[in-house]
Amino acid sequence: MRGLISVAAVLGAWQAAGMAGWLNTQLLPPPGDILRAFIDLSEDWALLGHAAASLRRVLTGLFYACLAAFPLGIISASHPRVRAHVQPLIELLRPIPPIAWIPLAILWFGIKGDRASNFITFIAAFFPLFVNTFSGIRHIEELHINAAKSLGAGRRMLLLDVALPSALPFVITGLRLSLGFAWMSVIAAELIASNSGLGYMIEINRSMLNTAHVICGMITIGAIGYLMNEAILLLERRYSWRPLQ
Amino acid sequence: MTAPLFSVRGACKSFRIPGKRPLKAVSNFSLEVPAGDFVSIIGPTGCGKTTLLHLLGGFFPPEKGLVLYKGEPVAGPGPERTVIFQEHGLFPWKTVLGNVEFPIKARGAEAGERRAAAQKYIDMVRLGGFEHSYPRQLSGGMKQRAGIARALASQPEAVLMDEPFASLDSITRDLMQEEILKLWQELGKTFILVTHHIDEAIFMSRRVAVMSARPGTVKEIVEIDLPGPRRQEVKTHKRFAELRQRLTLSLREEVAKIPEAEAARAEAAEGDL
Repeated sequence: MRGLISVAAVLGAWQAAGMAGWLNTQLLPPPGDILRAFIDLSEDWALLGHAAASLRRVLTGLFYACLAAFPLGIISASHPRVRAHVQPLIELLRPIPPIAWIPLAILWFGIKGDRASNFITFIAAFFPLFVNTFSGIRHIEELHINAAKSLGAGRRMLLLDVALPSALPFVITGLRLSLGFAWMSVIAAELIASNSGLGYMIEINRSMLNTAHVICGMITIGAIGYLMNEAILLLERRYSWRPLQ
Repeated sequence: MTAPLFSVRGACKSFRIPGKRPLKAVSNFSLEVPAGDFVSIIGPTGCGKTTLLHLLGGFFPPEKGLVLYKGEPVAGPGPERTVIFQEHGLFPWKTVLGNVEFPIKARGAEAGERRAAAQKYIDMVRLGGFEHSYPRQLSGGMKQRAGIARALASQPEAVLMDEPFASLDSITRDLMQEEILKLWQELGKTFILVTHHIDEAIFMSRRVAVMSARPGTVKEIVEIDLPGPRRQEVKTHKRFAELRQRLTLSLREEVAKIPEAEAARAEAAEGDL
């Protein structure tokens, strides 16, 4: 409640300053202008289309990251030999920020279409997913493995009924981090290497000095990021057997 | 005379600790357990009791000697020799029902039969009404009962218990002891109990094996000649007091042999397993 009051106060002061002519509205348009930009962008579904394009890239990258990170994480966590080969590679590539891959992505995939952005979201989502799946499997308690074996569990049940559910809280955390990183990276990729998406939309409006439209895009990016995080937290509360701190 | 269910002959097992010489946990250990027996193993802290139970469970092989089950060397863990762990080892991501269904699923039962089969064991330990609770929602005693139901659901020939009541308060502990005894009498299975609680060992067993200080070996085996069926009243029996006195002295001799630092080290090493 208090949060709402302070937000309303800031917005009110901002609007008042704009109307009083204290602001350079070209650089910082008041809230009313931003609201008008929202309406303007919604009329021809432009905002929705750009948001959908960004989301599609994030989900595509995440999908492929899951396909790669889950098996690789599980296998390298449970087989020391594979781990010895995979871990150094991962540790070499992991410190490279996803956005540093953008120039390479442009060279490989060009600016047209989704492939460059899909590649960037894949890179962004892969590492948190891999690292969390890996440590999830590594953190399985020996007690649970021993109990399962002494109850007659075979390899299949050890994997499906013990290892995977035991690692699930880690995997969901990995999913949440991945989605966050992928969302940040897709915007960066679209600023440079795309002709659609929210990143592209705010960049094109910047070049036309439509500051209100830029801010409108930023708010949309923040809102979608917030909603995605909340959605995974909901998933976490529902499916995580480990009580949340 | 039929062959004993378990036959341990001169078993040795030691553990490597980085930077130190190997720690001998169990050395030249021999014990025979006939089918249907209830044997308790008591010994000073860090004498290798848990190691012995893990040898019987098949979690690792002995370095020397033999661990035989029905005349065959134990090759690995299996549901016919199920283990009830001190920390119950319930799967926190499964409900009570899911946990008890686990061994039933493991032996290949259809999804439809599992529920009914599990219910039988849940009712046996009086956990009816808590089928859909998760372990974290249960009290210590209820968790341990769920662990027992799960172990029994694997239809074991032998139940190996590693200090199963250690984390329970004394009233719950007494109740659980009686329940296990009742199950033993009803089911006719073989129970092996590791404990450092002398009263518990006397109350529950037909025989008590006293282990020496580490490296653990069998110091003596005491027949518990108490009248049955046993209830808590038996603890006030004169013979109970005599047996307690005898075992206490025997155990004290062994405890006196270990310097304190050693005991702490051994316990830490055993805890890491």
